[in-house]
Amino acid sequence: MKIRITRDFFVLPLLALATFAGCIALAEGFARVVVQEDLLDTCWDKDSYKPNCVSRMKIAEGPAVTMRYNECGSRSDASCAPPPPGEFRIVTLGSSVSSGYGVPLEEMYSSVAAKQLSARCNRSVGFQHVTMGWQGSSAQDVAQTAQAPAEKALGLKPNLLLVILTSWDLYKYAETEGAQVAVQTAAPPAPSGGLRDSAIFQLGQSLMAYLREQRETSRFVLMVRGLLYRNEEYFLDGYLANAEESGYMRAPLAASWEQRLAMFETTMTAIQEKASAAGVPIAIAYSPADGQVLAGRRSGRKDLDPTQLSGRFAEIAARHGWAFIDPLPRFIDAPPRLQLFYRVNGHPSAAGDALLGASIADTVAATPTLGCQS
Amino acid sequence: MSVPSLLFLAFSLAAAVAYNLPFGRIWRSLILLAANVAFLASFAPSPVSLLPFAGFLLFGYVAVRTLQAKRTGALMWLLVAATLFVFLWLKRYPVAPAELFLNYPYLTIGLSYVFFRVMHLVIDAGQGQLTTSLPWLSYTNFTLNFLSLVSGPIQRYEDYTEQQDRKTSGINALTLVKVAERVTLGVFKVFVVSMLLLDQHKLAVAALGYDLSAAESIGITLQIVLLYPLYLYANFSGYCDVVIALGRLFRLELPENFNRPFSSENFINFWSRWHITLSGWLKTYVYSPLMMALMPSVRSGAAVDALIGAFAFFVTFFLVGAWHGTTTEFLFFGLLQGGGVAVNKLYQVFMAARLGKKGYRALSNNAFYSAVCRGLTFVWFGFTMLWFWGDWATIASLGLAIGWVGGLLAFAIALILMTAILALYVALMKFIDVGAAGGWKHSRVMLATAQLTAIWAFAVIFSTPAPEIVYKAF
Repeated sequence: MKIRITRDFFVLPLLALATFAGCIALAEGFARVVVQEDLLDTCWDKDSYKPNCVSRMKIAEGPAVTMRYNECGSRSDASCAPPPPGEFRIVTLGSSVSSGYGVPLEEMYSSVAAKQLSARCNRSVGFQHVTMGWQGSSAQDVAQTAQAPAEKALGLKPNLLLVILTSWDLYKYAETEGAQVAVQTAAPPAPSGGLRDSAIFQLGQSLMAYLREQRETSRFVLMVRGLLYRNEEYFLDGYLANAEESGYMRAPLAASWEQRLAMFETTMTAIQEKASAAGVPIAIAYSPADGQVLAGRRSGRKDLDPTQLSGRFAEIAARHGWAFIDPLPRFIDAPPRLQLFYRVNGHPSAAGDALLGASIADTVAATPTLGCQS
Repeated sequence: MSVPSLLFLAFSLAAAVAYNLPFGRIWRSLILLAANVAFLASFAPSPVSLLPFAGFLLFGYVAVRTLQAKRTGALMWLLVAATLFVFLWLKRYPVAPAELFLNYPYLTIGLSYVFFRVMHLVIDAGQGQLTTSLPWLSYTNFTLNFLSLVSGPIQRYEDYTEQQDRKTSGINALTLVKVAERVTLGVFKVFVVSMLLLDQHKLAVAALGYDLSAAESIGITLQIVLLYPLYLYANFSGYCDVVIALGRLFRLELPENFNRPFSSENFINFWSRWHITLSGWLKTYVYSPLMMALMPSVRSGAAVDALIGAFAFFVTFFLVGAWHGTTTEFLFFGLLQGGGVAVNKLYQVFMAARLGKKGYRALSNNAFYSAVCRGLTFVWFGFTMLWFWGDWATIASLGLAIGWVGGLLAFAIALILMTAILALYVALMKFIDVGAAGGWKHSRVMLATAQLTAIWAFAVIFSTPAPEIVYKAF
């Protein structure tokens, strides 16, 4: 190989640039053909689902799912009209997991739980779902935001109000203004001035931000993540690398997670006031995270306590007299071959929903104060 | 400091810039010494942890200088045995009661490769073959060379000094391009290829814990046996690509450690293409002396010669395997390596006797026979690797999962598969060789860019940590 200074110094770098662009385009194009994903649920409208709406969506790792919403915007084939006498109605409050995101209706946790509870309580059991996000600029703000969904849920005349909660719900709260305070205590702000104010640095920052944005929408990234995350170890390492998101497994809990728990308790107390007035008992089901389940299966990780968060939820629930449903042990003990989550996407799969549904059925059937057996 | 990592590349480039400043040989040696010590120290938890390493180096230096001053056979054997003992003692082989081992954490990374260099100097000095002088600076830089400290390649001292004494650096624009091209290839192999292969291999091993159907067991077994050699090759040869390329910036032509090993048509040939500097070292310092010692002074017949040759091969390649560690798995791995080459040698002798040399050569040149032998060599190596990466419990669970019939079926499928794949691979390599001889400047730029793109994607987008170099553990 002989390099000619005159032409090669222009041609070869240009060729390299063209190759780089070509590789990216080819990889992305290939991934778009191979990996089908449509996360947009067209029935979603601002903060709830449209009534009497049908949509189709698909998580890359899961099947295409038809999402049917009844006249109240609840993911159910049954009407949300007051239940017939004798039916035990459970109304859930929660985010995407509580609406069975990406899981066919017949395999959703509510379908599993309804079937099991009907058999054990000897009565018809039905579910309705109301969407509630854990968002606000402070604990009081979140509690305030939760008022409307709680009222809507209680308006459906439930026998039991079931709050479905994930660590992600609380983690996302960190993105709101309220939790910024706590996060900042862990990571001091970057110093300004000097190089950081230079145009090149700013350009670099913008470029990195652009790349991060593309990373979230690229189908190729999705495909390779799916490939890599088949290795549980690798996925867990990645999950733990986000110290804030997975921080609930490290003892003692960081201040930001304590703040999230305080927000949770404040919000739940506000919901309880309304539920008590309506004479409806409250149960809380904690849907675990994939990384948490994997950490629970690895006894070698002495630095992690995957049960810490659910333990704290249980304490709070006991203090207020709420029933607490903890499917985490069931998830941990499940055969490792079962894919309990859409790993890249993060939501539980049908297999995960089945475990969640079974746990709900077990606790509701076994807790007399919840009223299913009466 | 992980090799290869961005930090290591930056460290090497900074050292290369300082090394190539026009201040003469002493300057270059001092820069190299600083780089070597800094690199070694990057692994040390405390200065005290370096002391045993330093002691071993000092012991080796004294031994070599003693033998250069006073060369007798008995003294040489005494110092060879003492060097071997100190090495085994530091590596905690069971050569002494456990109470006599140092009971604090000390550095042993790269000690095996330092041992090979020191032992080569001791033996050569004892045999009068070390004709050049051995200043302490040269000795230290040779034995501690940061580019080849962790996992080789094992260079010979006379080559090292000859290269360091060269008047010019030989660095020009073309050299730099070639260095960049090979470093890229090496990082791509380690960062992308070996990562993906290891990932798939781990998945297959994890699947052993599942309740598998017969077909699944065979599929899993094939992945477990066939993927690991490919992973190890990508990992180790990628590392070698990086350090050999960077060596060019330090006037070093480190010896090649791999020469397309999977194109080998028999196991003996395989070991002359895989980890070449280790097998070459053992051939020089174990196989050849052993053959000399065992061969009778009078002719004793082809059968005895063949048996002696096979025995010498067995011992040599048993050591190639057993050298990796103190566990029974590594000992068995050594037995399988030694057994493989010994049986291969006896087969060659038998076939040559049965078909005649011409007939056997004709058979060996037959394309189909060659392809099957190539496949068999790969499958055998992959099978022996079970004892390299696995423990007895994992191997037992694999055996239980697949059973005898499944095992035989998996072997047949693996043989057919690898025969076909490697035949294609050899054809492709011939095509590439022809093209590369013609220049292929543009396609090489495109290939290197594609590799860089993949590295960038894995490092930046997926935040993938680089896999460890497997041989770092030895």
